[in-house]
Amino acid sequence: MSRVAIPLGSGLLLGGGLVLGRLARATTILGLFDLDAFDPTMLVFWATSLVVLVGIRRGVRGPSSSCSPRGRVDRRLLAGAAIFGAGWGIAGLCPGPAVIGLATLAPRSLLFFAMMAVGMELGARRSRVPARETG
Amino acid sequence: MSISNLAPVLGGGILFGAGAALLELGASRVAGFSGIVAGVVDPSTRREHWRWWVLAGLVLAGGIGLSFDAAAVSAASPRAWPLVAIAGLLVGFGTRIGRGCTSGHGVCGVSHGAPRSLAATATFMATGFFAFQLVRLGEVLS
Repeated sequence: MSRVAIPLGSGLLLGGGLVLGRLARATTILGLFDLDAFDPTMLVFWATSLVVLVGIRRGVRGPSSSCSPRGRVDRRLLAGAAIFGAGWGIAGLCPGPAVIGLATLAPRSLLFFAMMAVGMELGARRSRVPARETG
Repeated sequence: MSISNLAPVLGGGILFGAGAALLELGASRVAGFSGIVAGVVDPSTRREHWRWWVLAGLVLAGGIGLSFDAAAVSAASPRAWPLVAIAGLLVGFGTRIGRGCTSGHGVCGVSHGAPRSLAATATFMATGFFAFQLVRLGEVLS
């Protein structure tokens, strides 16, 4: 049962949080980048979710649970993040809100999601090529 | 944003943080939407059901939100469809190359103080800003 309840419950909390906080609206994200009509909603939401996540983790696991996963910062990571950010800044949508947007059944929601899936497949194929073959 | 609509933003952030904590502590999974969507797109991981349940929860939350307020979820983006298509492609490709998005790197990774996530987050915030300004410039010029 918990194999369904935990991921479904998480999805409802994550999605419900995004919807309630108006983060599932592209205009909210675009407002973050708009110097003429700046909207700090995303920053307030982000800071709140970070505080809650860290607070619950420490409450459950104890104060020593704060670990810092290692891993090198490489060009692939930065290039990928840069490309993702460009798409995010153009449309105001990232993967979570893109999934939530499917509920609208609006043509442009479906288009964004379909193109995102295509991009993911292309990205996954590129990731499977050994690094030295890509030069 | 004014004081009157600060409460739903704080409430939303609390729900989101709780959802990420539930998935991490209850199922040892990272609440990273790009990885979750990519995992159901990829045939080798498509049968791992937990991702489908997270996505079902997201869509269900969207449907519930829409039943209360038609403007709670935007029908995609205010941008014209060619830009929406290009942006979708960039978001999908970039999140696979960079292995994460706003949720996985921005919230979960940053909450651990992971150097990779901090670097990725600073990068996508910067390019998001510049991409927005570029689109705005295009609108002004046209």
